[in-house]
Amino acid sequence: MPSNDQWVSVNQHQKITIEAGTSTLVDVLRELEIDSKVAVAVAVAIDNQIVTQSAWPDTVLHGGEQLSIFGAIAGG
Amino acid sequence: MLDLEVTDKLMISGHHFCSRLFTGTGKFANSELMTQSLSASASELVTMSLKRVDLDGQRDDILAPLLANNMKLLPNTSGAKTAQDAIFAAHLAREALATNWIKLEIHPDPKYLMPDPIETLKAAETLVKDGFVVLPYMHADPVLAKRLEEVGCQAVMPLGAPIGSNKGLVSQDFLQIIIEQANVPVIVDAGIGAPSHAAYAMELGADAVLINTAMAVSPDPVAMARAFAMAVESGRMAYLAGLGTVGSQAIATSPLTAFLD
Repeated sequence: MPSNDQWVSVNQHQKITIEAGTSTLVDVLRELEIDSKVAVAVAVAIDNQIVTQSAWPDTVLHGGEQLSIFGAIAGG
Repeated sequence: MLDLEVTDKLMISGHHFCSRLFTGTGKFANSELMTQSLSASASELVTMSLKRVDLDGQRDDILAPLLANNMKLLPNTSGAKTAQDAIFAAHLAREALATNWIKLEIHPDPKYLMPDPIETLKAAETLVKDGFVVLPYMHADPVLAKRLEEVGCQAVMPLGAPIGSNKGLVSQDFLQIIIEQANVPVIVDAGIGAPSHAAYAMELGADAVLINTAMAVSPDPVAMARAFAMAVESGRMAYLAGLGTVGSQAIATSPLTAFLD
């Protein structure tokens, strides 16, 4: 039976297994333990296109995407 | 008695600030010390950066204490080497921090961190059109300050000296021209290493200063933060009061009539 498992890459070095056509951005973020509390200060881009937080639950992944997750850090 | 908190608020894009001391959050030994120092500084605006989240490392939440203290957040575009990078970073920051304020900084050269004027102007123009309140970090170049103002920047942030150098107002003569010509607030950013430098910037008529390194790397950052707060207020008060004219000849402060006449 063919598997629907595919990969997305996260922040250039980590790979996460997804179910192509079913997994959403929220699923991946949950797996990475970037929960809703931390997500207040997080921005996500898929293939260098920013995905607004309200669209995360409806953003279905198909495999091969490059996810970039950014967070706030100290700086001047 | 002049109460600056009541009478002399700074306004940027409709937002009032009682304190003219802006602060950075970098280089503090830990976030508790950062919070205490920023609280001692009475600063109401803090800068921060954005970075790819380290998925394996610890996630230090610097935001919670800042938001608890009701601070206005000013994310920067640090790390951007081009206008394109900076525009992307600004949009990420808006998404992550729910603010349209951005400290635009583009410095491709890591040795001196000199801001790239051409990329900065390009990015500023686009970001203003995209609805951002743009505060650009820039060299103390009066022509560039005007150009940035003309494309809609809500303030300009000329440097005193290279970032983190603690050299003070090396660019003083050009800062004065910028201050004289500006129709938007002038925030002296970078290079201020001592409260006396900050006071001097305020005496020259700067609208605010931004301090990070000098505070964060002090052996006692909380006391240094307080010292900066006092210096900024003192300098501002002196500017409003009006400084005396500088001359090369003595002008007596006591009557010069012969003592026993």
